[in-house]
Amino acid sequence: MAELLVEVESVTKTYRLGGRLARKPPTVAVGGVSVAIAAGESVGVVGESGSGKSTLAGIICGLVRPDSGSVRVAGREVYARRGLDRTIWRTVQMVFQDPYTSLNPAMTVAEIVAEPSRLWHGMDRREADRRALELLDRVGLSAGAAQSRPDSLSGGQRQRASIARALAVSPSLVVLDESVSALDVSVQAQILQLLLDLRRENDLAYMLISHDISVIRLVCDRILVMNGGEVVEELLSAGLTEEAARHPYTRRLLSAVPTMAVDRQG
Amino acid sequence: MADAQAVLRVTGLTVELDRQGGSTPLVTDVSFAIGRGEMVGMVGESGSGKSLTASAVAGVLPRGVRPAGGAIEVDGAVDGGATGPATRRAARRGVAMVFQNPMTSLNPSMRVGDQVAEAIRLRRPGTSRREARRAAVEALDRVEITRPAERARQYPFEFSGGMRQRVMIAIAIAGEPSVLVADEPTTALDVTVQRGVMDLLDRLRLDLGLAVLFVSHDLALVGERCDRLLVMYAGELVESGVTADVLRRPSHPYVRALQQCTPEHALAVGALRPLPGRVPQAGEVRSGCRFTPRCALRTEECERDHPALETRGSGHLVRCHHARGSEE
Repeated sequence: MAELLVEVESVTKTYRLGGRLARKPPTVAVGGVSVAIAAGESVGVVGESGSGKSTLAGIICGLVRPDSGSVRVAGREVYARRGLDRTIWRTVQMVFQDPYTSLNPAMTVAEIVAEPSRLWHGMDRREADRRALELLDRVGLSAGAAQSRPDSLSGGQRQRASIARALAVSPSLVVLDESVSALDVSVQAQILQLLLDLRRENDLAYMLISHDISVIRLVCDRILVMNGGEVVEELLSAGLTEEAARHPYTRRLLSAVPTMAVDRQG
Repeated sequence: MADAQAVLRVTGLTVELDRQGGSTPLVTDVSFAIGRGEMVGMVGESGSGKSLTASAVAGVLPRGVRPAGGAIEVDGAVDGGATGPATRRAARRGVAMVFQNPMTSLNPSMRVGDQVAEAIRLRRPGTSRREARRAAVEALDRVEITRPAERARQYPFEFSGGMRQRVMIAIAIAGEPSVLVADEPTTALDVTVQRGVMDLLDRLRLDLGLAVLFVSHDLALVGERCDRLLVMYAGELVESGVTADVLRRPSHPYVRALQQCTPEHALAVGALRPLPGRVPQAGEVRSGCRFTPRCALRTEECERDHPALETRGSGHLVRCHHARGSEE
């Protein structure tokens, strides 16, 4: 067994919707989930909205304290009793679903992407800037876009800037929450290729949350299927067919995927 | 398609962005027609002009952007050129639009049923409130929202993404349009929910004889659902034709490259083939073929001459000096 990067043990998180005074019963977002991710592994997560995918991602990344259970990243307890272990952000980075609220509007894209290199790796300004431009180029953002502020970029450009910012930390694991599904296929292909390359070059592990099962099958070896806050099925990408899936949601998901070449005359 | 029965006919549509000291073309000379009950897909990357073409058809172009030429004809009423305000209004009224994000298009503080009723009363001003409310419940039922009478009294936040998009469709068809423009209506939805909404659109266009212009960046989805495809690049049409012709035997190198970028294609051949470069921005448009810098087949001719949209088989149009014919 390769060294485990992330060990999540039976974590549970419940939310009270509508505040404490609401009469609604608390919602179990994640109920007793255990996941292990080894260095250089690629894990895909699928599930309907509300199945707990994003909450699980937040728990793994040190952003959502679970009600119970434990999370260890590189052997260190993330949610220790004395407080959050912030050093885990050197190891784990997250790219959020919404590229509109996750970038500092007062900085240029190049500054945003250079910041982690200075903060986490002690690079001087010139070195950090050079690395930022290199990363922005790898996600397909031009030098012009690099000098812009986030609000003058399109949604797809911002999403790519967020991905570059997360990678600038040189994390061992990056968690991408629906970060590629709304991108143009050309840009999406570029980002997916980058993930595959970084995995090969730097042993980067990634966890990709997406409703696009084709994307997940393409770049992930292992697929977790979530439903009702639980991991209901775990599959291998290789040779995945509708018949191989046992859970009804997985079957529905696989059969709902549009197929490219359909003979409409036939 | 039989052009004679086209419900929507767009001819030579040009859209421009007004700027100080001049204007920049964003969409150039786009022509197409959609027949009754037909669903036509419009695809291309961001910046290709697909959403602007759709917005021009629906008459909802953003501020500072205006139609600078061409005509949009809906059920024989023409908007554009020298037409008067009455025919222009008639053409407008024939078109309804559904957007990508149903949360920001619905009024969060108004009951869902009242929002549908409002659309009905706009279409038929004499309708009483009670009658409009009853018709709204019927409309919600038609978009397959269960317990429509009860749901009509709820607010948008009580609806899931897929259900909200169904409400938007109910509002769109309440105006009894002949053309429905759907701009990425399922992009924000889960695939299983997407399938339900697409099935609904399919059924409605057949039941009501709607001409649907379906804008999407998802080639696989469009390939599965649309009769014909229009592919846009840098503000102009580069290929159009029957879906099977365009996707099975793509003639334009751009369409082939786009297809090779899809995860479905990569899974089939075992390798990703990213398309290098990006769509030229407004104002960066070159003199020759607009796809030249990214094209694997480029020659001197491409640098020099802007190719025309030419027929390569029945109903199959391609804008490329090196196009493959669909009948080879």
